[in-house]
Amino acid sequence: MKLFWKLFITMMCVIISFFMISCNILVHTAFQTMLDREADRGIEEIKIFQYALLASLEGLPKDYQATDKAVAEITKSFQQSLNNAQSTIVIYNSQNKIIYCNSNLESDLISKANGNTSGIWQIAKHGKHYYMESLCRANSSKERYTLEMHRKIDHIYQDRDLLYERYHLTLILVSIGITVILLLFSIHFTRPVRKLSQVTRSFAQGNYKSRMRERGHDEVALLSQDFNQMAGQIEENIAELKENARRKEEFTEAFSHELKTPLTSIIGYADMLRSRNMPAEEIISSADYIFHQGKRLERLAMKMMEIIYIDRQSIQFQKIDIQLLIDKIKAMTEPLLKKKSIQLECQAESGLLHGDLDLLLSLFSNLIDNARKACSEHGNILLSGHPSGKGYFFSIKDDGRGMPEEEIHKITEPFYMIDKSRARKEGGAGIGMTLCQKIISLHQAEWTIESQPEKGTEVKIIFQEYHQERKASDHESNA
Amino acid sequence: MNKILIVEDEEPIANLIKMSLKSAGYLCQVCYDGQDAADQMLAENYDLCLLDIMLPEIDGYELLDYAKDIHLPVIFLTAKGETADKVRGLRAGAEDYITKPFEVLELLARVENVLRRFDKLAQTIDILDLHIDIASRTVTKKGIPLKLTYKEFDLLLLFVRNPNVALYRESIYEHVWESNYLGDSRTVDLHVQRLRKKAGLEQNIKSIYKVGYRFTTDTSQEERNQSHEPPAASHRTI
Repeated sequence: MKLFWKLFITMMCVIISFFMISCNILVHTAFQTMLDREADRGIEEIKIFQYALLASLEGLPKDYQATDKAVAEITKSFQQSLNNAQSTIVIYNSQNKIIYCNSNLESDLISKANGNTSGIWQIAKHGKHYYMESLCRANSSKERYTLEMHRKIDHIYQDRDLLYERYHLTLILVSIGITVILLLFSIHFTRPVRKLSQVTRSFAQGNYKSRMRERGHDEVALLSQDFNQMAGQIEENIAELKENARRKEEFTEAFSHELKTPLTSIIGYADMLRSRNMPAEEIISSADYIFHQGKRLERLAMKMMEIIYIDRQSIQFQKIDIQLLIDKIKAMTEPLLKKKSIQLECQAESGLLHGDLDLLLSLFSNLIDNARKACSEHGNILLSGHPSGKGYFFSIKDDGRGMPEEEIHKITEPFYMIDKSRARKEGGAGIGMTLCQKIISLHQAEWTIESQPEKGTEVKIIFQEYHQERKASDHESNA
Repeated sequence: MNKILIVEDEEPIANLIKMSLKSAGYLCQVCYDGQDAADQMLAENYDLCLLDIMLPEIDGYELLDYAKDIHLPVIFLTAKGETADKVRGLRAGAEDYITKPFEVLELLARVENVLRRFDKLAQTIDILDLHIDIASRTVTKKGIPLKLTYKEFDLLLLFVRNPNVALYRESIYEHVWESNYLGDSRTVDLHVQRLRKKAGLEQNIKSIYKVGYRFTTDTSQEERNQSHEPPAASHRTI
């Protein structure tokens, strides 16, 4: 059952039953009060009659034998004086014999009266009519009489029935009213819940943008807030997953392109060589193409291995002396730099880095190699390092070709090359910067690249895991 | 001679295509980027364009639209080998789609097909005393029709289109039977022998030990095949 109906039916039942119970009590109380009042009145009346009768009997001469007839006469006159046609009077003598009766109704009240001198009463129904029967004893000096009065009290019952009738009518009206109000009420209160379920369903169907409106401070609003928070998180995660998948797909596509391109040349030239008669110079150039494209494949494979190595291997971090690192970088890059007569200048303050020596060497040699490719003959590369507030700061600056600003963020994408044909000639595989990015993030370092076309590029790296010099002697032994 | 425009940013591949097309008797022009290619398309009247998709400046799809405007047939030649890419390329209006890495034989066959479709190549080939009608798949020798099977006809066409080229059994098999060569050379040998007999090409289709066969029009001077002359392409006339 829906919450809406639960809420509606429960409230409906509760309100209607409360209404019914209270109305019943009210009507019943009113009826009882009227009945009590009528009884009081009946007793009062019979008391007056008793008093009047006794007074009349006392007023008679002493020798006058008060006959039953006389009593009947007195009663008759009394009744006339009462002027109450509704009342009927019955008088019994001491033997409980009726000596006066102006009613054809029989009552058994006398049998319940035994010994009770004060008035008693009861309600009796004769035919369609209700009667209030009251009874009391009247002891004159000579005779003991029992007085009984019957009064019609139909009006009380009529009043009660009228009340009930009104009450039923009211009940119907109130029910209708309450139904309408409760319906509106339930609709209003379950609306956020329905909205939430609607939004959740749409969210489940993949519409990750759907959100609840956060209004008010009730539980539903809190739930909406929580839902929105959850939805936001999920959306973020899904976007991240999608981005990851997209990046992977792009990488695979680029990688297969990078793989197929040299393969095309290798297969094509080899096919030409094996099946055609070609001039000697064509044979040499074809073989040269095969050789170089093969080399290119090898480079790609090596770089890929390095990336896979970083991804798979758990890397042992050690303390690395910066001077030692710089020396190794120099030794590694020198042969290639010499070919282009490029000057590499190193100014690094001593210190200890926390990292993997091979990876750091790979990072710096890649960056210096990039700088080399950007430089023309007799260019300059400056590698500087010093401790800064956040950690140890490195800068690799060249005075080479530089690149436009819009290209900078793309260069870490795998296989992205700003100038493809140039990069190929220089021997680029297109994933050097991707590798650098991985090494940097592995060392929890940060980098920024600044470049201006025709002026040069500067790569800034900050290593947070940095230690001051241990001991002077230590440094010496390392150096 | 048919003029073909090659648009390819990888220099070794561009050169490879150029070499193989040249040896088959085509005139070639190479462009290394999209901008250059667009200029070339207008400057000269080409019969066919071999187009890479990933190009600097202007990409292959844009160039294709451009080529369609001047009614230049285009064959895509790209490393993008996904079915979706092929469908996209062909839908965009390319005549054919070749994925890298490709074999020279395949490239030449596809180029010829497209050229023939555009009536830029003769529907018939006259070579030696054979007259080959490609459209009706009939061959006559000195006016007498030859009864060749479907595969024998394809085989003959392959030989005739690649004169002086050593055709490997696996290449022949993959080209004519259009399935992967599984090392069983009997099928190829059998068909070649029957073709030699039927068409009287015993002297022209030469066996190469452990390799396959080579078709040559010149039976007298075997030594000349070793010379550095590009193969003759006398049959390629409009």
